[in-house]
Amino acid sequence: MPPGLRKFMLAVHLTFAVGWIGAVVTYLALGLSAANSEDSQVVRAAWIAMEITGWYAIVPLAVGSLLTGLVMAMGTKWGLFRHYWVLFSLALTVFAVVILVLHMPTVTSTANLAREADGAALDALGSDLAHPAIGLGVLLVILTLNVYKPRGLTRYGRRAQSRQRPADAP
Amino acid sequence: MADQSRKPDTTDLDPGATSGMPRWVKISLIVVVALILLIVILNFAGIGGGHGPMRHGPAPGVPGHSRP
Repeated sequence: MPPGLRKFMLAVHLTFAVGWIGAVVTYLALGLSAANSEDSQVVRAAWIAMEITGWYAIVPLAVGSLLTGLVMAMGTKWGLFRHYWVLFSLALTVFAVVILVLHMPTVTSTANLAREADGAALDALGSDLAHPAIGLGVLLVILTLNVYKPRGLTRYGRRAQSRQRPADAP
Repeated sequence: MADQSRKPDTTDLDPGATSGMPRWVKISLIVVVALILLIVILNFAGIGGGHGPMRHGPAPGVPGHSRP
């Protein structure tokens, strides 16, 4: 990938990835409101906002992070399978996206209930804290891997490197 | 995810890069396997509740909940 295009893709990838983290923090704040408020209007509004935030911010940002991350890995010398930190980042990102997409229909169902329910029914809805909290933890692990890039070549990476060394020799 | 602030081809030529799986990878895999086992055990024990669409729904007949 030419340097100019690489920097542009890196900027796009960082936008998606950091945006994903920010959107999850927002979702968590809404979840805490739903859990702690005794005002039925606040609980109803929080659930509706959680559904909107999930589908219109978190899911697109998550998918965008995954896709741009794949482009960055495959378009640079890091590769997708050569370094353990890239492999772990990929596995954790795929895991987070899958769980997110499987979880969102539950959020929609609960938001639909919140639109109609009141009183005890609204109280019974509870909140959604475990999924965003664990998801945020996973994203922070991915961020740490990407910043520190701990050393370690996979077997495939070592083979690729040894193939490349005779080609690079003068 | 893969910027050029650390160039891969020169900085991974140390012995740790050629001698097999690094310690941090082994520890991470152990942690992941332990977490998966924990989740499986919690699911079998019924802790954490069901994960169906009605996970957050009230029981039928609860006042204030109306169906179309």
